[in-house]
Amino acid sequence: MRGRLARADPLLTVAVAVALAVKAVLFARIADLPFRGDEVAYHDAGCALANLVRDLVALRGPDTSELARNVVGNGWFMPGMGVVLAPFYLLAPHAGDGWARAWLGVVSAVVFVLAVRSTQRTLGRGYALALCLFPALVPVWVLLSLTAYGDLLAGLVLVILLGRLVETVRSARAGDAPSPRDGAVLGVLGITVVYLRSSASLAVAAVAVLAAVLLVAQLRRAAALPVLVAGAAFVALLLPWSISASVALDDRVVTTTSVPTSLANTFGDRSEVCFGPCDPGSTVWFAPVRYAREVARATGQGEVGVLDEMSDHAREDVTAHSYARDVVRNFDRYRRIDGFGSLLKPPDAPYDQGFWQWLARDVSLRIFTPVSWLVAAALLVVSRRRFGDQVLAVLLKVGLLALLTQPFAHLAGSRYWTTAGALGGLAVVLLGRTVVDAVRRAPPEPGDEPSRLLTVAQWVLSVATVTVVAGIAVLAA
Amino acid sequence: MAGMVALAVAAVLISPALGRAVPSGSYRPDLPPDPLRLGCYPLPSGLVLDFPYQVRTDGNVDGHRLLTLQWDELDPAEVRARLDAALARAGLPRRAALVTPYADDAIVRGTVVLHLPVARLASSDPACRDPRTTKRFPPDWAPSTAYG
Repeated sequence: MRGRLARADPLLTVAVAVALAVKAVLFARIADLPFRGDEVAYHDAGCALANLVRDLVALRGPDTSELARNVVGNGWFMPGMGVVLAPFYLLAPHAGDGWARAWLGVVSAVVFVLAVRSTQRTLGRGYALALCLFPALVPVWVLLSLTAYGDLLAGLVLVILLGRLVETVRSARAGDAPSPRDGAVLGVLGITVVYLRSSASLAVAAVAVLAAVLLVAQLRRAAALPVLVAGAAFVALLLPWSISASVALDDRVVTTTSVPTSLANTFGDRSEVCFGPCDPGSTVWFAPVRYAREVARATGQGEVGVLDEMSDHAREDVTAHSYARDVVRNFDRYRRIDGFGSLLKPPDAPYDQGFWQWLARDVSLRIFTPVSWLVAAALLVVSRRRFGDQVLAVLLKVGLLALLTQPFAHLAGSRYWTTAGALGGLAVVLLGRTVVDAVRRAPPEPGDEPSRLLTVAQWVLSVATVTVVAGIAVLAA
Repeated sequence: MAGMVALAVAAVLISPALGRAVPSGSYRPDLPPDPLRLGCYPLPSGLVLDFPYQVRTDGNVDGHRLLTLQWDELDPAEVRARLDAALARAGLPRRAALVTPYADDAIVRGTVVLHLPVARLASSDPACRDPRTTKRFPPDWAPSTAYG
């Protein structure tokens, strides 16, 4: 793979190699770091899925209670990272977390290389290079590529999906309809993103629906079959999770059960989540689930429905002002991407001292802050000189804006940016091309004439973005 | 490609001989037993709560047992009536139960605070020593409201 890449583009090969070298150096620093937080849940899912394969091969019945407890759990996490870890635990059932981190590093390296190659083919060399610089050289992004959190991989797969959708829509203008196989690949990519990080569902749905509309607008009936196949592939792969989670929790689960509790914890009164205070000595996530299970036992209702009612109760006193204020706080938290820099910190070391802390925290922020302003600018400028750029602009903006709705619904954390971050480098290149084109006023190449509809769509997105930001700022004041 | 598939098939085939992976199972909170049904600290004889409830806190205050529950699904009048009957059977006054309905019409309808004679631990079940079951929480357990 590397050989072919080298023949194709030496600069890109060097960029990928540098990114992977940084990863190797940082891995050496955290190789002995045990899994912590939600990583434990992904580890458990990986172990249980590996055991499922083992049982099936040995013609034993699967251990359904182990699967329910460790793969479905509370229904919070779709098992994308469990699937990523399962092959590792299939062959190394008793391996330590350091080896598992090495496996995760290899998987994220492979997906990164695939994303770069796919971007080079679908969007061009500049975008592929951008991906190698941002986010791939942000130290804290590299650190997170060695963890079991799915946010980062979801972002990389989303980049592949986005590039392929852009390619498909561009080809459609020339009259080339995607094949049913193309549709199936797009559907599989979409559901992969969702399995890795269910909060990216909205982004996948938004770019998929938009691309489908553009395809149907250009190809009419010829677009129907590939679009239907994409949707069918997506649903067919979603169903095993939805059905198993619904059966295990005895309630209806589509993707995740965490939304009501996260809304309650983010915007509601945390001392009212359990219709009063939850049991002490636990967390804002576990205590409500334990309580919901108790209410479910007393009433015979499903715990997921109980969690919904708990959330409604805790949010009774939410006002427009309190909601907007919490959204602003969430965005502040979202931008503090250096939080995971502490992964590089030895347990007994001061929190923010030493070279590695400087690298992981300060350097990450120094790259992230200016790039995030450029991405914000990219969301506002309107590309109106080339159809190819317009398609990318619309899909990229819709994808980014959908991902940026996360602080509107969930307590933000310092790793959530890694999903949107994968699109950040692309947005900066798009901004550059749009500005250069606007200055040069070069005529588009034949077949690449701009679409008035896509210009209007971008204006609508820009105005909507400004309106929402201004609205939240006014309400929060 | 064929080589990779063969490798994957071989890995799957030998996997049962390598032992089982051991998930921690720690991300699914256990459902604690109902402490009243388990009889950790029994209710006075005759006091049977025949409505859906969950115990929220239990403990002794000023020589009395203060047991706080929430009831589910039923109207306040219905719960009051059932409680009155249960208290009468146990020979306790009506004022031993304080019923406070919630304003919203959700599945959990309100709080019942029972003022009862002090009860002693009456079960050797290990769960009866777990505050998550008995709802007799040590005072140094922090509220579960911090984001972490």
